[in-house]
Parts: sequence; C-alpha cells; structure tokens
Amino acid sequence: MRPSQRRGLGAEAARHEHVRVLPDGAVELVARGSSRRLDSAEVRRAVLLDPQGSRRLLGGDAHHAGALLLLGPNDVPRLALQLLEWAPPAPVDVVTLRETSGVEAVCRGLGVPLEPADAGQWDAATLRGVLHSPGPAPRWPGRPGWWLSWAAVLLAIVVLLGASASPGGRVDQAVGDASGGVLALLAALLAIAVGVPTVLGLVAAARARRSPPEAAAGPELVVVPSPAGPVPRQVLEHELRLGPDALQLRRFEAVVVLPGPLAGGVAVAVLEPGAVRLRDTHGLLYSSLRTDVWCGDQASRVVLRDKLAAAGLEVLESPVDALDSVDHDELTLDGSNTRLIARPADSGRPFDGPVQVVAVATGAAAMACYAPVDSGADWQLVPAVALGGLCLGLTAVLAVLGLLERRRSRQQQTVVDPYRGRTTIR
Amino acid sequence: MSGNTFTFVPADLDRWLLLPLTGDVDHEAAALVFDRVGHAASEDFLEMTTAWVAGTTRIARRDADRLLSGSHVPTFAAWVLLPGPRLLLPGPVAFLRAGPLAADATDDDALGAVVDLSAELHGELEVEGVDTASGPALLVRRRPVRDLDGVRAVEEHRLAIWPRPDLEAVVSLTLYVVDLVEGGAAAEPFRELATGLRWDVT
Repeated sequence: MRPSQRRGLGAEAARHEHVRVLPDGAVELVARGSSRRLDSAEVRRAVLLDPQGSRRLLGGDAHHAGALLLLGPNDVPRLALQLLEWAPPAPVDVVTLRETSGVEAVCRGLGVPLEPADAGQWDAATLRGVLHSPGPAPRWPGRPGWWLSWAAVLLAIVVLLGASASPGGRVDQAVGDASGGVLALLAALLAIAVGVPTVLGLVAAARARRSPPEAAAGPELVVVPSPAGPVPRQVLEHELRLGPDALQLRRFEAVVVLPGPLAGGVAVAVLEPGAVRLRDTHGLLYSSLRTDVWCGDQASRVVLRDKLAAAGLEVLESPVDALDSVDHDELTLDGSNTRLIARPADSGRPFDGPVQVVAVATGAAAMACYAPVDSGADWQLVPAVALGGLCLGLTAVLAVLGLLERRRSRQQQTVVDPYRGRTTIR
Repeated sequence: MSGNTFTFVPADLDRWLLLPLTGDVDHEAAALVFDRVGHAASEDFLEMTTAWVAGTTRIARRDADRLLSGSHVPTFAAWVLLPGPRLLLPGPVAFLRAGPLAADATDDDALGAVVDLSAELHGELEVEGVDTASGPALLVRRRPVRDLDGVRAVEEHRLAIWPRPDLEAVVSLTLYVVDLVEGGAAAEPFRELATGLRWDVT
C-alpha cells in the first residue's frame, strides 16, 4: 500500500512510505529511514470498517471510504489504515478501492480474508491509538490553533478598546493597569503559540517545495505534458516517471506513487480520445490523464505511447472514451482541485483555514502589547516589549511569506503557449 | 412434493429485483425495467439496464436448468440484490429452491440436504432459528473456502432453510457472495427477503 497523493511536507511520504507484507507474514510499515514491524503472530484477522464507523471512530476529514484494521489475538486492534489515505487518484467505488489501494493485496499476503468489521467492538481511543497515517502529523496546536488565534484577536481588541476609551488613551483607567497588561500579554502568548509553529511550518514547506525530485533507484522514463494549447505554467511542471516497480505522478506539486507492472499494479495504458487510462491487468483504474494536457497532438501521442511501452506497460488504443471520469486533479488547469484536497499539515499550516488569521492575531497582539506600555505601567515594560516585538516579527514574516506565496501563485498561473513561446498574464 | 404446486408471494422489497424465469428473456427484462423506472429514465439507461437484467436472467435460467436436469432440484424464483434501494445495478443473485427431505428428518438433516457439511469453512457455521411469513426457518451463514488456481478464496453463503418433513421437502433461499465484506452488507437485505417471503404448496 502506498500513500495517496501528497504535496509540500507530505511529498516525501508519498515517495517513500509504504506498507507491505514480508514473505514471513510480518507486516512492515516503511518510512524514509525507519520502519516498524508487526510479526505474523500479531496479526490474526483483517477487517474493514465501513465509512460510517471510520468517520465515527477515527475522525479526521469529512470524507471516509472505510478503514483496514489488522487484529491480533482476541481481536485486539494492532493497526488501522484509512483507505483514502492510501488511495490512487482515480475516483472509483469503494469495492474497487479495496483492490487499488492494496488492501486486498495485504490480505492475500497475510493469507486471511477481508471481513466486515463490527464497529461497536472497539472505542475511538483504542482505534486512534493504532491508526497509522502517512506523512507529517498535524502540526501543533492543530485545530485549536484557529480558536487560539481568534482568542488572541479578541483579547487584543478588548485592550485596545479600553485604551482608546480612556482619557488620553490610558489603558489603566479603562480596564485597569494590571488587567490591561495581563490581557495584552495573554493575547501575545496565544498569538505566539500559534504564530511560531505556523512560521516554522510554512518555511519548512517552502524548503520542501524547492528540493528537487530524487533520482530513482532503477531505470526510469519521464513523461512531461505536451498540451494542445495554452496552459498555466504549473501544468508544464507535471511529470510522470515510469519505472518497472512504480510510476511516480506529480501534478500541481502533489506526488503520488502507483505500483508498477512488476508490483502487480498499473500494467496497461489505454489511450482513449479524451484520456489516458492507467489500469492493472484486471482493468481496475488507478489514474486517468487528460490527453489534451499530456499528448495534445499526434506526435506527442506517439511519443507517449512509445515511452509507456518502453516502461513495460501494455499500450492499447481505444476509439471511444470509457465512462470513468478523469482524475479530480485533472478536471481544472489551475490546480484548485488539488489544493482543495491537500492536507493542512503538508503546507505547514497547523489548521485548515487561511493562514492570514494567524498574521491578524500576531499583529493585533503586538498592538495590544504596546498599549499598556504607552500607559506608563513600568512593570510591564520588559515583557510587553519583548512579546510585542516577537509578535511584530512574526507578523512581518507571515506577511512576507504570504506575499511570496502570492507572487509564486501568480507566476504559476501565467498562461504559456508551449508552441509559440508567447506569454500572457491572465 | 411431486404432484404438488409451489406458489410464492414475494414481498415488495426495494433492495431486490425479481428476475423473470419464464417467458421471452429480452421482452420480460425490458418490461421489468420499464415497470421499475418508467418514463423517467433515458433511452441509454433503459437499454443498458435491460441488457444486464437480461444477461443476469439468462445466467439464472441456465443455473436453474442445470440443477433441474442434474439433481432434479427445481428453482422457483431468483432475485438480484441491488446495491441500494431501487438502484438498478447488478449484484449477487438469490435463488428459491426445493429439494427432497425424509419424512423423519431433523433440522440438521435439512441443513445437510442443502449444503455440504464436510466442506472446509472459514470460521464457524452460524445457524439461527427465525420466524418467517412461511413459518419457522433456519438462517444460516457459512464461509466456504475455495482454491482458485492456488489462491485460497473465502466466499460467503447465506441461506434460509424451511425444513418441511410433512411435505418431504426442504425449501431453501440461497445467496452466494464472493467476498465477506459484501456478504456482511447483504445480511440485512437477505434477512428481510427471507422473513417476508410467503410460499405455499398446494
């Protein structure tokens, strides 16, 4: 089993993490530079938790397709894997997903049938304790960070309103000297608690984006888009790396590794008028690429066909399109769908929401810190200046990071005509 | 039971589609689909749905003929389990059949008359006594193990068995599902079909 597509800080997990069954029946969870092992005696049964049970017991995103639970003696859960965290990009039904995600392959490797789970058998804490999610863990403070940010803003507003309401702008006369100072320092602490991990996360994500893709261990062929007409620049950065064991697909900075022909995965490429279907030998769909993006003319279609064949895939031509939709990511050319399903932790954000909220919190807290100082409360001078300064610095860094991201986004959205070399700004 | 007439009244269940085991397959399938979806469906949908209903019916009729000529076991009805309420998409098929049973047979004998009790199973055989519209029955879940080209496959077999030593017959409703997860999902619809099914011998 390999992780579903990930970008930013999660891209490394997409490239390297996997779950496999060893010849001795042990289950191995492999990450880059580390691995964890469940001996064969520890796994007695494999059960599938339905989407409702998965949502109730494992939480997380709103979308669930169920979860694989490996159970030890007495049905004690040893490992939980959520299907959508290990799903190829093709939108398929849950029955197909069991096969394409590798769940059925794990069961075959273990020599046990996949059984339906009785969701009432375990509590949420037990299952969350054995849940393994690929990629970086949610960044501290997680979802509470959203509320901490707004709490900091609220406290800062109270302090600033108090200062503005008092005669001569003296906060001590409106909310009390000590109260005003304490509220301002509390706002600063809350803002820093969210701001520091946010800044560190955004910087780490930016560094991860800049690191070049690593060379494959074995022979590899690279397919890049050859669009039929003008496309945003970021579309031209897509690539499909073809190897005998794995196919690595990168679109809008999101990476997914699909099992290759030697790994029992993608073995057939069907060239249809509107899409290139990557299927296994049983016809199960792993990914669908738009032909107007990846092979927009006859010459590039021939090149694509030759590369797919050279990589060991059986290439078939179909005069009609299958009923399947293309991948969610390929439906738009601006990457909005890919960003929509990206995880906050992959982009360095502690919570799922606009990062500008954190900048507002740190900015407001900085202003609140200087209000008590302005009122002349000497005992608050050093901590207020220090924390206010830190908040001010965080605000500046967040603003710069936001501007850089905005500029990068504009550059990526620049429409490029690959055939004429003409560039226009949308 | 020879010389008697078997009749049944299936409950109107939205998870099951009763297949036409008599008459012209294509005509009956088209009429059945049209009856279910009416004028609301597109031509393409009607055509596609009629095609799979007709195909599934042909397979069901072939199985019924094979069983009748080989084992003299008649098949009275066949239903497709739909993936959702009134969702006309293919699924596993349940068969209503009857076989011979000794006049002094017990419930275990009736079970043994319908399934191979010596077959290798995954897990335990589960038997539950239930009251149905056609009298007391046994609801059975068994998971036979099959060897498919060296791969050990486990399937799910759900049965409702009505032992009727007074008629010297055992009536059974059987459903095979190729994997256990789908088999688990079929449990409630199957129970609904079995308990609501009203059959009689006249």
